[in-house]
Amino acid sequence: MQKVKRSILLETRHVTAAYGKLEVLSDVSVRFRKGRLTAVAGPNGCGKSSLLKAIMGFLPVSGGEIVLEGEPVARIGRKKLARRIAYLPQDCFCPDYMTLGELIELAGYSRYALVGGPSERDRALYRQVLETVGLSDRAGFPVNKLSGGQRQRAWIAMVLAQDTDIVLLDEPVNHLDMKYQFAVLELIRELTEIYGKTVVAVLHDLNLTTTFADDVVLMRSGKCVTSGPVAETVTTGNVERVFDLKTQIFPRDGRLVCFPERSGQAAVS
Amino acid sequence: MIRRGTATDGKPVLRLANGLQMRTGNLLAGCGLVAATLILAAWSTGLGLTDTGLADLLRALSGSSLSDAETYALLTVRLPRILLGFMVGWAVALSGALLQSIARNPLADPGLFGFSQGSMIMIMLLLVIAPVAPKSLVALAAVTGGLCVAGLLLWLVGGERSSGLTIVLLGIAVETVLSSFGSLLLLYLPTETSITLSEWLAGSLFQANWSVIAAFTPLFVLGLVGSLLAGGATSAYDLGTEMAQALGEPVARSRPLILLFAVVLSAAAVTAVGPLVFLGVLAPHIAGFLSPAVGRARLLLSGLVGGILVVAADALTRGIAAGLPLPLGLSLTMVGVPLFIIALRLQALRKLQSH
Amino acid sequence: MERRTIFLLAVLPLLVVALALNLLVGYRPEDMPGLIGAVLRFEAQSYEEAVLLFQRLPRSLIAIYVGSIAAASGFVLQSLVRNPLASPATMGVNAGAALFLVAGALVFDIGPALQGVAALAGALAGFVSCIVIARFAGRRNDPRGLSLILSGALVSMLFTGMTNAFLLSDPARRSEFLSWVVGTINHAYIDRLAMFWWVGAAAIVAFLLLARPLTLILFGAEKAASTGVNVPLVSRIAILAAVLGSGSVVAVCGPIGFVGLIVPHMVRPFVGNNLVFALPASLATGAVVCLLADVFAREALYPYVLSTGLVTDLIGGVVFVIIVKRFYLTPANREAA
Repeated sequence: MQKVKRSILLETRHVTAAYGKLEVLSDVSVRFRKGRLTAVAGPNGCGKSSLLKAIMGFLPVSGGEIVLEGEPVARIGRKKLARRIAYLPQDCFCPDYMTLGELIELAGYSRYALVGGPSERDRALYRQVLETVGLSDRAGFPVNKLSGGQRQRAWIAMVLAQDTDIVLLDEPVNHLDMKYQFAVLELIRELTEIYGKTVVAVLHDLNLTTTFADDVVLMRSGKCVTSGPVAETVTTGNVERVFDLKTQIFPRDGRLVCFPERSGQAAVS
Repeated sequence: MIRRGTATDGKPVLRLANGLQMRTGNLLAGCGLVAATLILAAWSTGLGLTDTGLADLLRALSGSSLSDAETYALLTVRLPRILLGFMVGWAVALSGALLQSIARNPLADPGLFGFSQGSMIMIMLLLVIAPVAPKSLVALAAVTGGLCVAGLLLWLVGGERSSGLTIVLLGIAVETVLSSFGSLLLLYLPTETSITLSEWLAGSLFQANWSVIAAFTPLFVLGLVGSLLAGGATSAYDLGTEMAQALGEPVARSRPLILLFAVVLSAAAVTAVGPLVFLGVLAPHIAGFLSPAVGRARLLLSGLVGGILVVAADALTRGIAAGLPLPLGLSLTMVGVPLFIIALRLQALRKLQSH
Repeated sequence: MERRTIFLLAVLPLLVVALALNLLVGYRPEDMPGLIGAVLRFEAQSYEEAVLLFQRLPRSLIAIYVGSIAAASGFVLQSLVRNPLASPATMGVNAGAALFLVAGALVFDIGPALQGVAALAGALAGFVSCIVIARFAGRRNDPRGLSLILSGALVSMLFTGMTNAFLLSDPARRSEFLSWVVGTINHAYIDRLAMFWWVGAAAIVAFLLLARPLTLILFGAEKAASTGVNVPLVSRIAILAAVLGSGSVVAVCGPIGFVGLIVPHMVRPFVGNNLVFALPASLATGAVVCLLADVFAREALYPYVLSTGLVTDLIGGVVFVIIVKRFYLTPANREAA
């Protein structure tokens, strides 16, 4: 029996994965620490989303393994996994007839009996979750009729209502106005600070990453370039290696700010 | 045991001890639909060439005897047709509702996946090889044909990672190839066999009798049970396969199972009355319009609406077009499409108002 | 030389070869000079030559008409609808035309000329139904235009079912239409071709005249509008031409499916999306495909003659699977799907 470091909850060990012949992850080893918000960042197509998909088992893993508290994820059944890890895909679709309340009730799907429904405790949780995201008065609305910012909070609420200790979010603030980006990330931040959840979020804005995340995983073309606490990892050298971009990074109000440098020529590779 | 309460979205529900909750609105809609079915069926017993109806039927039940013509019209023709029509409508609508959740598209119809064609070709081949095959063998052939197509589809689509979209598209492709095989058979068979098969292809309840009902009932019950069991999963599937898996639905196992249910239901219906195109899209949509529902409630309401539509279409065939051999498929279109369009229009109006 | 030029240069000789095959397969080599002479002189001196002139030549002409119109319409539809699976056969056009024609012939007992008009009206009705039903599915849940194909398939099935119902109501005339309904190239239909060829010709003229603005629209409606193209008008005329052209094909020889689906996918890798080149290429390739399919239908189970429509449907179904695999199942698309 291997000794597991208690602070490491989820870990990928030399994971390699491909869609058909196209390799999207090669030899990725990352550790996600308990109770921390880890951002996965990198340029488009670097395998950020694929990493989350591989963890969820949506992507065939051809080499290495993904380990949840010492147990390979591949060997955990769907239902059991759903009680440990909640996942929010990049694009969520909801049928027109489904109300926010019904969506939230679906979050506890893995806890219900085959012919059964939410328990008293579940329902209390759902009410509390809606309270948290500030959508209590919208519970009876069809999800597709909510505004963009509300809809994204609704999905976050669903992930919360799944009541897991790990939460994977794929681009949770994409297509949102800056105001809502901050509101939603503030909410996600609360998941770790108040509820003690372990959150892994794909973000492609480096400044949002430095503002909200504890740890960061920097990826480029399917490989993990480096990972670690934000303050140590987000350096001009690393950013240039990952994004091909010269930046100035300086601390301000207790966080790092990345500022791309203007150069004579565009760095295109 | 059963308590009243409110769901998370604030709508009134009835709740069982294990947490299973039913929306009061859906429940009322269901009761209304059952009542409508009964009224329609009662009215429908009075339609046809022989002048008899519900009153005679009730008299017969209370002990007095009927004339031979009345007995024949009521017990041998009308009742079986109504009953079989309802069950078949239920089966097709349920199959459609299941497929729509899996494919995540409101236009998925059991007819599009080629199940009906698979069943049909199997029946044709059987009839060509053994023209006087017993009914049970025909039913078996139909189910086998449908299952072969489903197997082919599942094989083409691959495991749990492919999306519902693929199933639909490949379904259409399979349907195309199979239906051209079907036309080939129709074209080169002797005229009489060809006409018999075409009649069956157009869908009809002419051959409804108690033995067909006896053969169909187990499948109907299976479908009912299946929809209760699989019903919960369909609401997870409505969010997409990845989301369903993330929520804890073992898609690799449950999707083939749900497809199997859909196939068995569709194949059984095809065997009994021939393919009923579009019913699988119409019924769930009209049901959703009457009373928006999720999961099991959606499946049950869709089934009820499907049953009513077919009973109504049959009533139309016998009542208004008495004497004309109006195929069921055609009268179903005449009943369903106007309803469909009305529902669409009203829905559009509703949307306008809510904004 | 560019691939495009090579393709355009090669497709004409191919057309001649396909035509020769279609006309001459099955004859003895030593008869060839006489037969070719008969075609050139357009008079028959023997039974073989009469068969060639009055059975095979009409068949070939119909095959060329059907193939070229269907292929060009398919290309235009795929371009404008922006869906690799669009074609007259997959969008309810063929089924609509067939239904109206059969209903007209059996219920109202109209003659061939009015049947043609009915087919054109039916083609439009099928297309419109397809669009209306697809609308209902909404855009949000349909990122990749799937609903159009679904509703097309539904409409086709519904209309085909109704066509069969009409045929059943009149068993005596059923056999007359049964082979037509699956799409058959038959020399007897040359009269219909003589009656309706101008519809297809007009459609082709419209396509060729609009080739340049259509190509611009392909690269983006707004961009095209900014260069002065009247986008709604051009799109509508092109779609109308495609639908009516396909309707005329159905009026001639029944719904011969899937040529319009397959050919654009054969042509596009070589010629690209520019309609100025793609249209002539589609026209010629469509004719070649149809001529060869006809040869296959005639010779595969000799002495039995298959319906050409069945052959194209069978090939079409397989190609459909391939297209689905390529456009909807490739790794890059998979994530989106």
